[in-house]
Amino acid sequence: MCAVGFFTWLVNTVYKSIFLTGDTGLRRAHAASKILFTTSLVVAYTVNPEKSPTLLPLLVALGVLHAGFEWVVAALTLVSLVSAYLAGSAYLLSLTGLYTMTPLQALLVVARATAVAFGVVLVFNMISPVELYNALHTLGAKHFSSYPLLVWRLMPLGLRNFTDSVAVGYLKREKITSRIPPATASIIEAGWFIEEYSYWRLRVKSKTQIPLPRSIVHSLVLVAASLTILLLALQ
Amino acid sequence: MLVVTGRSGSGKTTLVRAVTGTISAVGGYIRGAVHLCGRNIAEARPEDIYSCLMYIPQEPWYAIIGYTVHAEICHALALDGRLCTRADFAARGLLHLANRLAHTLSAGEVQRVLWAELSLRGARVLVLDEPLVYLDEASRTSAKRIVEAALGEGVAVLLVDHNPLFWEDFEPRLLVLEGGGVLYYGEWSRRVVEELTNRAPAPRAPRTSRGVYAELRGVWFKYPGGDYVLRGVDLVFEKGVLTAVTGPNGSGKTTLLKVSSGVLKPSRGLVARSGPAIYVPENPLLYFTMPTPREELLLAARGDESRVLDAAEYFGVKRVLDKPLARLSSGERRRVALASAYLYDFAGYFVDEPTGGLDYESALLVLEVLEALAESGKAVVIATHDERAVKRADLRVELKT
Repeated sequence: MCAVGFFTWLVNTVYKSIFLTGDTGLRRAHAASKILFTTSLVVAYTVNPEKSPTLLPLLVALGVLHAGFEWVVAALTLVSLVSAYLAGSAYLLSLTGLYTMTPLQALLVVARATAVAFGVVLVFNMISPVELYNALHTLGAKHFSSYPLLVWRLMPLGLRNFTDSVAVGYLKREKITSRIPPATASIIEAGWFIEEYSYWRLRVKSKTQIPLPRSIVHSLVLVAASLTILLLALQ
Repeated sequence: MLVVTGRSGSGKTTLVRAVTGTISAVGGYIRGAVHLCGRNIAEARPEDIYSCLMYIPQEPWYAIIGYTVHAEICHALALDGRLCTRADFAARGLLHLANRLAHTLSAGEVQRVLWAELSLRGARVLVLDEPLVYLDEASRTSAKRIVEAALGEGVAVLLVDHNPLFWEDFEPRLLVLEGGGVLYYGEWSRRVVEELTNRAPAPRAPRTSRGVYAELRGVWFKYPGGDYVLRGVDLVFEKGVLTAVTGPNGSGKTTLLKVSSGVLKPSRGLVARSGPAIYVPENPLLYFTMPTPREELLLAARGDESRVLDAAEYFGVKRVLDKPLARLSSGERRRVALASAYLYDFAGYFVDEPTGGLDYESALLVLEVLEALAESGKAVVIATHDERAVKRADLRVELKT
C-alpha cells in the first residue's frame, strides 16, 4: 500500500500543479500582461539571482489569486521536491571533496531553486491553450492549431486514467511495479482512441478563433506584479 | 434513419468505422466505396467530411478534444467557421458546465456535451454509436427531440443501439447484424426486434441480506479543484443482495462506487469493508493488467487453465481469448473484465454501468452472473441508468445532484 499510496500522491501532486484549472484566474489576463510578467521574472532571475527568494511571497500571492490554496500547496510541494533533490545531491557531492558547500549554502540553493521553479510553474499555469490555438491560427499554422487543446486534454486524462488504473491494480493485489506498464498503456490507448474518434476533426484546418473571456482585473494585477518584480530585482 | 442492432461483437462498431472513414485508424481497410454527402470518403477533403458528418462514438470520453467544455464546443464550431456564443451554452443547458475541465466530467455529462455539439453543428449525416448509454431519463428525452428535429431537416441518421425500441416512434429502417453479416435489413419491424429479445430472463430468486459488507459514515468527497460530489453520505451495502445506485448525470454514482471500493479515499468520513473489494470501471481498459483476455484470466485464476476456460465459456468470451483487449468490442471488454473479477473471488463487487452498450442477450448474461454472485453471498453494487439492471436489483440507492 505504501508504494501505491506514494505513487498516487506524487501523480496527484503533478496533476494538481499543472492541470487544476480551466480558463479561469490569471489565464484570463491579457496576453500582453502575461508576456510582461514573464519578461520581468526572467530579468529578475538573471540580473539578480540572489534576490529570487524574496519574490516567492509575491508569486505565492499570485498563485492564490489564480487558483487558490489547493494549487499553491501542490505547486510548492512539487517544486520543493525538485529543489531539495538539487540541493541535496549537490551537498552530498561536496562531501567527496570536489568542491566545498556548507549546509547554509545548500539551504540557499533550495530557496533559489524553489523561487525559480515556482515562477516557472506559475507562468506555465497562466498559459491558456485556447490562446495558443488562437495564436497558431493567426500565424497561419491552421493545421496544428488544435494540438495545444489536445495536449491539455490528453495529459490530465492520462494522469487520471493512470491513477485509476494503479488504484484498481491495488485492489487486485498487484505490485506497483507490475501495474505501471498497463497503467502507462492506458495513456497510450487513450491517445489511440482520441485519434480514431476525432479522425476528421484533427485533420481539418481551423477557420476562426475561439473566443476567450478576458479579465481586466487580472491583467492589471499582472502589470502591477511585473513592476514590483522589476523594482525588487533592480534595487 | 437507420437503426443498427445485433449482438455484442457482431460488427456494429466496425460498420460505423467503415461509414465514418475511420477504419484505417485501427489498421483496417474497406473494399468498395463509401459516399458521404455525395463524395467518396477515400477521395474527399477532410473539411468536406467534417462539415458533413457528426459522430458520437461508444466511448464518449475519447471523443472530446477540448480540455474544458467551453474549449470543446467552441473548437468544434470554430472548425466549421462559427464563433461560439454564451447563448449556445445557455440554450443547451450547459452554462454551468462551460468552465468544467473535460476530464472531470462524468460519462453522462460527456454524452450531453456531444449531443449539444451535434445540435449546434448542423451536420448532414449523424452517426451515433450507443449514444444514450450514460444518459439519464431527461437527457434521453432531449436527445430524442434533437434527432426528431434533425430528421425534420432532412438529416440522415445512422444509429447503433442495443435498444432499437427506443426509436420506434420514428419508424426507422432496421439493420440487424450477426457475425459480421446481415441478419435483417428492411422496414421497421417490431417482430424482428422482439425476436432478438425473446429469451425470458431467469426467474429472480428471492435474495435476502446476509449482513453488512460495507458501511459509509458521514462520507464527503471532492476531486481536486472541484466542489464536493458526495456530501455526508451514510449508507450500508449488504452481502447477498444486488444493489443498484441510480441518479441523474453528475450526481456522483461513479464516485460513490470508487470511494466504497477503496479506489478513492473519502475527503471526510469513514468507509469500513468486511473483505476485499473490486471496482470495475465503466471504461474496462483501466481494469486490465495483461494484453489479452487469456493472460488476464490466467492471472486472475492463478494459472488454472481449466477455470479460465470455464469462465470464458460462462461469460461468452471464448472466441476472443487471444485477441488484444484494446481491439475487442466494448461489450466483449466489459465481459472479460467481469470474468476476471469473478475469478479473483472478491467479497464485494462494485461495477460501473455493467450493461452499458450491451445487447439484450449479453446484458442478460451479465446480470445473471451478478445475481449469481449476490446469491453466493457477495455484496454486488452497480451504478446504472439501465432499467433492465434496475429491475433485477434487490435494493436501490437513488442519488440527487
